[in-house]
Amino acid sequence: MDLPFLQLRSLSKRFGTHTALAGVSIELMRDELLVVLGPSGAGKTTLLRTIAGLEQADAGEMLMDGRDVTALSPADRDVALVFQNFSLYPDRTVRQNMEFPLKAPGRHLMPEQIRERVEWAARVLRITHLLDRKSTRLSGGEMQRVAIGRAIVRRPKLFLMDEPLTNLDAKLRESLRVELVTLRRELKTPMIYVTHDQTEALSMADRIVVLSGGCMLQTGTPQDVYDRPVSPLVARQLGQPAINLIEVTRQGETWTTGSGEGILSCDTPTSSRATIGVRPEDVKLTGGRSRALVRVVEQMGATTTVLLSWLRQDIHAVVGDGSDIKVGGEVWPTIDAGRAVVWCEASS
Amino acid sequence: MSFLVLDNVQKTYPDGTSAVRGVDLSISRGEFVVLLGPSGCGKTTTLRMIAGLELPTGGRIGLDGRDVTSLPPSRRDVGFVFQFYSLYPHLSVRENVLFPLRAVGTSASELARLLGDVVERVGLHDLLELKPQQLSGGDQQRVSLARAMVRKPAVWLMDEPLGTLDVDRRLGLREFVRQQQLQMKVTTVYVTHDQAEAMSLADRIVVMNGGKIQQVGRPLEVYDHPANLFVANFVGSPGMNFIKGNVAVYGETSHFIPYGDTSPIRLSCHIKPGPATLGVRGEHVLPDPAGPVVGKVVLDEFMGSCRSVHVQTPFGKIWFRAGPRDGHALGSEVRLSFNPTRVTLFDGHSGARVD
Repeated sequence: MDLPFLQLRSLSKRFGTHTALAGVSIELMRDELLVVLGPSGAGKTTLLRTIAGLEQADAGEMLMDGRDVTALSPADRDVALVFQNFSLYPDRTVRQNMEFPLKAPGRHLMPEQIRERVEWAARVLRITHLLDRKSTRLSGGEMQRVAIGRAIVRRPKLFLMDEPLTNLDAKLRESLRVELVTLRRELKTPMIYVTHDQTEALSMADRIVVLSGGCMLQTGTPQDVYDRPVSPLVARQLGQPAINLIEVTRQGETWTTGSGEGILSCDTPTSSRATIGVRPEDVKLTGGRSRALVRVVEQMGATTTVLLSWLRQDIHAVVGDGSDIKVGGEVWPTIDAGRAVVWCEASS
Repeated sequence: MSFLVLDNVQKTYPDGTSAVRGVDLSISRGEFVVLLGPSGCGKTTTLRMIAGLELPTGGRIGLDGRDVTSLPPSRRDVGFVFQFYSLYPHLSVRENVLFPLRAVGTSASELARLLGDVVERVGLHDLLELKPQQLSGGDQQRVSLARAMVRKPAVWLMDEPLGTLDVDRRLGLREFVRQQQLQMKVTTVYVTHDQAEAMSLADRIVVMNGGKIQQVGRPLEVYDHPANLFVANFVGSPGMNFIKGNVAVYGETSHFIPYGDTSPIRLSCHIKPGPATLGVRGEHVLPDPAGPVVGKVVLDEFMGSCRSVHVQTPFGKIWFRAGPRDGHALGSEVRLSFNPTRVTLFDGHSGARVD
């Protein structure tokens, strides 16, 4: 059996009365990209800083390669951290910025080795032509590439990324996202990537950890968490537009909305109330028995997003071809019963 | 008739940097126009010149039949929303929202009606009595949008007003902005780098790069018929696939022959022979056992409602859109074909669309 590279066991951290981490246990495999997804204040950054050794956990332990590193200093952990803000030395060139971590006391590298590593990293990140430029003369995307370059020259055992793409343009984010995943795979170095962006989480992760209020709500592959979220709270974090949540009560063998529409057959006869989650792409606009009003139509290119007033609430639908849907028009929607998620309220 | 007109508007800074290099644009009354482009493309500078926060170094700006090129902001009747909220810290949310209306002497009953309306739409019920510093960043931005959008100036100017918000909030506010604009019928110019935001909001999109307009058109026009390679790549997520090659004419029909390949792709329109780039969107690239292009999967991105599968081929990397449960193993071989009615051709030299 392959041993996990990193094991976090019940890590907890408080700042005064605020609980930042409440018993977080994560295993990271040797060649894995784990994304920690959560809103601001979820404890994501504290988690990364604790792994890096910049914060000390109040309780719990941390094993790296089977060895307890809970008490080790940041330098002895051999991890590289990349932040949202590029934090380069402004008066130095790209080359000097990237050499810096290699010249740290305790690293005994020959000038020739330093040059080789910097040039290798520059090639990988396609910034060779920028090596002699001052870091203040770079665009945002170039700066973030240099910051990543500074992290990889050290060839650390673990990459920790704290929303590294958040401050960049949407288009640049899209291409750097692909580059980061490819780069990590080539380096075969494990990575923990923290973000609040669901697109990044879904598209980059081997596994996602959903964090909220310092607690882990769910861990799984992107598809798992997207298709089978454990709670409405988790479900809302993934997917754009967000999943539709419909409150229902049991009427005989049917889950029925407040407006009296039976929308799904009920196979859990012990509960009387539930929340049903339906992804926008699982709402079809035809074949139903109750009417909906079209309020907003957004032609997105490959798909069309429609906001409906249906079942006395807002419902989003995403359809392939929406060229015949008009604002103010009527449609008769149905939901894909096989794809709906039902969260039953515990019967009291 | 045009309501807001930009006539060869230019902005060159004293150090010689040229931010806007001759922008011509005419916007109808009530229209929602989005300026879309990467950082440094000149979109924000253009917006600030319309607002009067910067003066053009060349050209004219006309608003509602008046030349406003050198008028101060206060004499243009524009409502401005910035990316970073700017609320009065000493006033409650209620007073912040009402401030611009009180300033123009709105009646008490009208104030109550407008407040009720906007509070309902933006969902500010629980926040009305709070001060700005008690709100999260997202809530502050909602309040500043609400404040800007209760008033009915000649133009609303918005500079990435949703840029700093969480995705969840952003979508809701995007719908608010659009519904409010449709209802109040205020001419709007909105700046963003996010093509999805542009597609969803705009009556017309103005794609900018290097201080110049690249294309003006309805969202689907820009998406389906991009004017050049820049627009084709910038709009869409990911952008369009490109293959370099040559157009040759056999008999009556034009064919595209990729570099390093001999199998021509038959085109449905007539195009002059010569070097060209073929463009095709990921949703028009189809896995097809008999397809002409073969490659290996290098990345399979799960996007929730679909997948973006990236394939390394002899013609470069090509991505296609697959179903959400249609995963492709890394390294596996796929054959691809293109929907020939949905390909676009660009001139091999200038990059301009030629079909």
